[in-house]
Amino acid sequence: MSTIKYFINNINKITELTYEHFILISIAIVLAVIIWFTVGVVIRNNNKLANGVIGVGSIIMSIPSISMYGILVTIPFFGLSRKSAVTALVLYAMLPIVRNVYVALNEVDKSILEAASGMGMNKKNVLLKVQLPLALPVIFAGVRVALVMMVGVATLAVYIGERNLGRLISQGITRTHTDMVLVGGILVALMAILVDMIMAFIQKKLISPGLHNSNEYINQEGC
Amino acid sequence: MIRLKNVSKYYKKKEGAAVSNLNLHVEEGKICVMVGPSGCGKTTTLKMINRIIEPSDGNIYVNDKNVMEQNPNELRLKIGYVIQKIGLFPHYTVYENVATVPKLLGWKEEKIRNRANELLKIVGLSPQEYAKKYPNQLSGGQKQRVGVARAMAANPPVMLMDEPFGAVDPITRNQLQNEFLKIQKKMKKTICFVTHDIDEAIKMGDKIAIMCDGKLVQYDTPENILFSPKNEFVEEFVGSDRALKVLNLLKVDTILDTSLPKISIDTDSDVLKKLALKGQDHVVVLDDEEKLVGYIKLRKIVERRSLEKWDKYIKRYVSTIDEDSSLKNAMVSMLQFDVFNIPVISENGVYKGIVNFNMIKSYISEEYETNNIVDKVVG
Repeated sequence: MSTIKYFINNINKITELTYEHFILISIAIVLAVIIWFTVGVVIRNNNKLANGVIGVGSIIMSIPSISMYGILVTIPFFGLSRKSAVTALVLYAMLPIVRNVYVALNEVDKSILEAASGMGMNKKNVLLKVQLPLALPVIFAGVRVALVMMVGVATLAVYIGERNLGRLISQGITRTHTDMVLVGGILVALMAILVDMIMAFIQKKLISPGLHNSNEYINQEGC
Repeated sequence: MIRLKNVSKYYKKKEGAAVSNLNLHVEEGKICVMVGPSGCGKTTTLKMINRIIEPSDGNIYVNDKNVMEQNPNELRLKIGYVIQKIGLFPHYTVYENVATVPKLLGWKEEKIRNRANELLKIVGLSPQEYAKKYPNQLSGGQKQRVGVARAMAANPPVMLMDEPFGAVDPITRNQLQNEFLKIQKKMKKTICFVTHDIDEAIKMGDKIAIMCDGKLVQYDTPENILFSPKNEFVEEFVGSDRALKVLNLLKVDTILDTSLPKISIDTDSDVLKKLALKGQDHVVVLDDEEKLVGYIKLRKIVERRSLEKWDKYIKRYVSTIDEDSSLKNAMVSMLQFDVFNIPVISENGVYKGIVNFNMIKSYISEEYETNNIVDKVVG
């Protein structure tokens, strides 16, 4: 009960924090997709380069987020600003997006690509009309992982001056204000679910129904 | 028309040539089947024609134009291409798959739609039912039909087919082969067809190119390959049952016996007597529309001397076969019904002639003998 009361009493502040949180991850995911998708496409045919890039992504992933923010604020250009927060989130998104783009493009059935170029499609058309559309489901899976992770990691950006739902959690912990922590935690979780649902919706719109498994051919003769 | 002139392909890493000094000429509107054990270079040869694999040496001409002097993508737009794994685009509907090449060629929407519908009908899929389906809603045979339709979309004069019916079950394969031959009869494409199955090669090919270790061993019509294999390799590859395969290849009309006297059912008995006196034993009886009624054994009747109501002596044949059946079908019927003669009738029942067991036997042995003699002279 007291949690709901706290929520209602502080609705203005909480709305503002939620909005800020949402803006931060929105900027970060857009940048991350643009950058890492491009990188994934560029490295698709180069095994060695791909292993290197994905290795870097794994190393970044293994850095604890608090230290990541800590490192970034020491860089003069970034400092205590949204730039640092966005940069950290974009870096964390590297592994899931780059790896999934790379794997997805390489997993596309070679016979389909051979048919495409054998029919007279140029390389650009093969990539844009065949390879990428077929890779989309796996690419989307990577983006969704990155996005949900961002919602969580963004909460720690309050330590470098961000104002978002993480503030409720960190302040709640220092003040042992359980309601505050609960409201913060629940809203973060809800946001993670919400953005994932938004992505699922976009995915459904973008991916051809021919790639859904649900309508797999069932042999009508029953043999 | 496809012409390969001294074509070779070497891979740096591998010793020797994948294809060496190959000369091949596929005539306009004919099917050339390239067949051989795996690794013989047949698929490599096929893929060199549309430059998926670049030849190391030699020239390839498609409709008198050197493929090496053309942009590979533009070249491929003019060559239909069907592969074993079909390679349908799973994210496209059947219609979109078929429309791929016309779209690349910049056809107008309406022209594409008409063409796609026409093609789906040709390959035996109703456009209303299938145009909007996705490949994962189709069976293997249906997918392959769409694959063929897609390859023919822009009406290319030349088609390359790499084991197109290899991935479907034997019943569907047979069906697809027959349908494809029917389509080819109308379309008259110049086709290069790769398979490892000699039976398929014999069935589909106007000419067969038997390959081994990157070399062309024999390039000839199916009949000649069966009757006079050039060397032991071909003989072995064709199989010890090649005499049976010949039967499958030859139609009954090649040895149709039309010499047997035919009489109408209302013929006067005098005519029969005359025939009997001439020593004629066996007479075929037809009705007014030339349809087969049965046969009559004159000698027996003449012995009984009661030719007045001769029609009661007519006997029916236990079995008949269609005029477009193969000699193998005829043999099967003979063995099944324990007879030596089988009458051949047309689709609407008109009598065409008789096939006789001994005639089949002597025809085959004669063919082998003449060819063996030729072999000995050449060898």
